[in-house]
Amino acid sequence: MTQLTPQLSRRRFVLVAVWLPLVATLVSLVWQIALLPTLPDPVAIHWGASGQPNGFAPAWVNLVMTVAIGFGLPAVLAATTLRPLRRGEQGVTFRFLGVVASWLSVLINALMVGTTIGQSGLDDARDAPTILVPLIVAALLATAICVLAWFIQPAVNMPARADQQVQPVKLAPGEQAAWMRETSMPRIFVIPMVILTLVLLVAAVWALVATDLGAGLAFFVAPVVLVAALLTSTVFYVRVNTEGFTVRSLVGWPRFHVALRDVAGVETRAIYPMGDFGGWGVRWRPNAWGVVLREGTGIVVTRTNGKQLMVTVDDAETGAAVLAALAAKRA
Amino acid sequence: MFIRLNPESDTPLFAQIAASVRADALAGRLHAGDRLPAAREVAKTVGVNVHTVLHAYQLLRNEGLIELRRGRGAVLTEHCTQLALLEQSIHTLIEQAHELGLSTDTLTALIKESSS
Repeated sequence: MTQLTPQLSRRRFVLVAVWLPLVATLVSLVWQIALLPTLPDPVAIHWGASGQPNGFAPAWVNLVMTVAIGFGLPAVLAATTLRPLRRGEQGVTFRFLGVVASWLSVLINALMVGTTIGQSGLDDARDAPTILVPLIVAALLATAICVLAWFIQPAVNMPARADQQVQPVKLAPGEQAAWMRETSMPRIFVIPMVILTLVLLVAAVWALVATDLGAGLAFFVAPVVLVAALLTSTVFYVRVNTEGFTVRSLVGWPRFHVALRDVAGVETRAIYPMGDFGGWGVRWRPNAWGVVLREGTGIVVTRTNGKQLMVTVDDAETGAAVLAALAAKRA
Repeated sequence: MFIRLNPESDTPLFAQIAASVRADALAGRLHAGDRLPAAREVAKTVGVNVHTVLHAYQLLRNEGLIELRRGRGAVLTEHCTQLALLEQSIHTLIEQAHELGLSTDTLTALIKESSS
């Protein structure tokens, strides 16, 4: 019986999220390259809803996309997941991500091979067959492989992390206390998103002004959505006072609040966004909301109705101590 | 930022707020380069007038503990680190005073006398 250690979880994850996509991409590349001489020029690279090809490009574009999406995407996914894994975190989130990585890779690679086979021997890419058949075959293959990827990874759950008891702050009679902190997503996450937003914005302006794509304002949707996401999920203000525990974003929404009378318990705990909530930012899991912009110690407030609110924030011990004192004083 | 306020105390509110920030710095909860919350945020959280908070910030700025920068707000200076170094000395002093049976108020008076 193999030991269910964090190392095993990590090794199996790397197997399905890095090695499997690598092999799939190599197989797909070799196959496509072998068929290269038989392909029309240009090849079909995009199909419309009807199943007929409507986008064409030189054959090398397909090869680049194969590597970029068939291996690049899973590689990025694996890279972000490896850090918590290396630290010994485990759980169903990681298992699921391994499945996603393998599914994506097999799907794209099989699809690329399928569409290439379909166009082999043709003189004109416009005669290319419908994408439906390769798509269905690729999807079935990907699903079969990802089920394997699920079972090859061990089933473990992160052991429940101990909550740290909180010593309420001692308040003299008549004394009031309050606590505030700002918590934000690490710059290394935010900066790429900001750059992406700027790039999309420039592209949208250019599309509107310099080309006659006729898309109008459609290209502005993506950067606007990104800006909204950045404003509502990268910086939060945490406040403890006589009104209770309040966590709100830079622009005021989302806003989470627990009134003092609803505070059943306050603890501090080491919070790992990936393992605990499956990702960074404002997250939900059954019975708990998390404002987990980064990992680290955070305040965990349990409401009288059993639901929890968790926030990773600096100086969490003091914030929790103040909240505990205010809640007790009110009682 | 941890703030303790006693509305009954003789010490004006702005001085108590400044004292809270100094205590945070002393305890190492705030470090050089940290940004203090906006005066408006402090005012709303604690339930005092914004000008009271601004007065506190100006006091701290005059002491050299914070810098008021355009766009960034109130930022703690290196002074903060030096203040934290003082903490050990302060604790030692308080312990010695208590061993001698002196209250903290008496100690404070002695310090004031010595520095004049």
